[in-house]
Amino acid sequence: MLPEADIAFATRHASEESAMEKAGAQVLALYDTIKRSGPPDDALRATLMQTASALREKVEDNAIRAALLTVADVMPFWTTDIRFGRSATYAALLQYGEALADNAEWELAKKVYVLIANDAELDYDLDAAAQGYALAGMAFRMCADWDNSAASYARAIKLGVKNGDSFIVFRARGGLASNKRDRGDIPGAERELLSVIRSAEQLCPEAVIHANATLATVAQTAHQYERAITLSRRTLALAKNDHRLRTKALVDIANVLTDFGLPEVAREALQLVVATAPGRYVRVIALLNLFTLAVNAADPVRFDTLREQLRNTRLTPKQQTQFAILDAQGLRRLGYFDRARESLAVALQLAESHNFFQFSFEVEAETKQLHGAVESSLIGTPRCTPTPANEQARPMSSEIRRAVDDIHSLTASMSESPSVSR
Amino acid sequence: MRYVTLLGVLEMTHAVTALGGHASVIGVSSFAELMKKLENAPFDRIVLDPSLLTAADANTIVAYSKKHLVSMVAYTSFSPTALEACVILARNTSAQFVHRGSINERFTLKRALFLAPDAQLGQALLARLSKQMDLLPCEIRNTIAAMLQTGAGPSTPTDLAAQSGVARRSLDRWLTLAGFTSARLLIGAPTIVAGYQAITSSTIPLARVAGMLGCATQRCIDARFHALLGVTSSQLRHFPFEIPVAASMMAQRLAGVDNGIAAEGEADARYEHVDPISSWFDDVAGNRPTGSSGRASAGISIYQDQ
Repeated sequence: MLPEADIAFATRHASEESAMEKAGAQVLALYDTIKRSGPPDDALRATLMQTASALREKVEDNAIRAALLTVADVMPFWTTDIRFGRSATYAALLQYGEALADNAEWELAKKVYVLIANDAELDYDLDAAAQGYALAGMAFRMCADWDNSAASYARAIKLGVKNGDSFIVFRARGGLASNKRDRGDIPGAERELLSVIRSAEQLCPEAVIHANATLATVAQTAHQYERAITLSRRTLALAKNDHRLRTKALVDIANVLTDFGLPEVAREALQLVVATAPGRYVRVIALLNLFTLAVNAADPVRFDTLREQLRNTRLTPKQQTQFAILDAQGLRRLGYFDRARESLAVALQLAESHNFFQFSFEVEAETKQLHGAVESSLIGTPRCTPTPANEQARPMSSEIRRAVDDIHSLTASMSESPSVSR
Repeated sequence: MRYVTLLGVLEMTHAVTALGGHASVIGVSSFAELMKKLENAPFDRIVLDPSLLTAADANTIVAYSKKHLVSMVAYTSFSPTALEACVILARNTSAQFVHRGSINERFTLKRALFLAPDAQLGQALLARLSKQMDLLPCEIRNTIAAMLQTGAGPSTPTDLAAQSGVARRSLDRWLTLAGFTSARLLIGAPTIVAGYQAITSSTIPLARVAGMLGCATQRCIDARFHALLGVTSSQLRHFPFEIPVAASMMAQRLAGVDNGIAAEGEADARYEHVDPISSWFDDVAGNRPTGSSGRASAGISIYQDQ
């Protein structure tokens, strides 16, 4: 049901995306001109108005368009009202970057963030600069550019301290922990996040929620399912008014429930996220998790449909690697050993070229499983492998039971509202 | 502290959550109602969403804030409807802008609500330092004036020099010529302006105020307050100074201005009896102020030990 609809959606929006990219480039070029040459003259004002009206007429109404229009609206104040004009332009450009990131356009988002961070720092707008660097750190991580990610986070921390912005400092430290998690240093990530939570509880409670959410993903990576559920439920409780974070927490819980052996509850939550989440990034994560469910269930129909859909979706390097590993697992379970081997080779290449050490371990484990499956097939066991060990339902603790109840009530409440707001 | 807010429903929820019961909040739903409230009773802060204001409304609120020296927080997204009012507020007031949708929105909002600069303190301090300020070149004067009015600004003398467009040595020379005792002390002044009301008029824990001011511990802000006011933050909370007294104390430490000299039209004589303010606290903490300028830098940076 969902996959076909989403493929159509992707095709229909491909041309609109390119129109949006063009509009973005145009607005950024205008920003660059105003920044370099001072007050906009009449010709430049006319171009700005043309760009804004073209955006209104030709581009679909979404977060990216709204952010670009705001940039176009506030840019004329760049030189006339320095205090307001500049900070407003930086804020609008940061919004544009975030809209791009939500849409999984990480390459462009990272360029926008770096541009803002550098310009704002030169302008002594430490707030915008620190935000820009912190967000750039995340965008670089998504592109698996570890050195630049670490450098951006370090700069964000430095400027955050200078500006007395403990939230940015803790957020950037959480980002560094995420880098460690993605590179397989689970104990290091956990140490850093626990330290952040300890310090933030006193100094900046607003930062605890993000560190808590990241710690849940670390626990899940370490196969500590109960702990991951407890942490994700805590995130849900803390993020009462933050729908964006709630959606992410919902995906995290669904992810853990998948690993825990409650695929039906997980599927219910994930399908809702795919249908309602406003940002493509979260939708793609949910799709990958649905793919995991199809792989675990060795369901050939769902596997093929979701596989096709994900192959047509723009994925980050991390998601590409995850996809390749899952693809190999699915193909092995369905008995297509040669194709599984090819996918594993792709996964290994991606993991090594981007230094995803955790995934390298997973590729190694999957390779062993594949060898085992090939040997078994030679001695005549069935082609379709049964449900894996971690998919077998385990006894439900009260924590897991509460998480399942949460999912049911959340999906019920979210189905009532057509989309999740930012 | 008393707040009056003109916000949308969601923004109001965020503001009330951020204040967390440490202040009294009165919400209004229209500009007319806001003005009525302001006419009836004084408020410490006005929190509003510029998208709910017309240009005329914005001009009215500017006139009010100039007359009554009330701090303002503008909590908004830059929608085309908000833009005109935003520009009017930015041009004519020291309103702090909190952008909706930024990653640090909640933290910035909380900081703006609690640490909105004490407009009266900033103004009184500028009045007392006016002779010294007049001797400074325009760029340095504007930067320092903005620092004292907005309660935010460069965090080191080198940054102050760079932001004013002069070399560090030139800055030191100009400040000395104008009669300022030290650039480092001057850098600490916005912290006092920003944190003064949160310390004297709210119940928010001092450690939390320290965190919002960018200090890891209370001891860090104590050092800053002690350097300019001769008292620690907890002493100030227990025995808050009147604004003119605090401004005179700060002017004294920043430029050796005597309590009665620089204030324009303010009855400083009323506070003559409080001359030995620091002695009030001798029995509280045995912490006799020395006026040492070096203490401002004694603060420990938050995150270095983590």
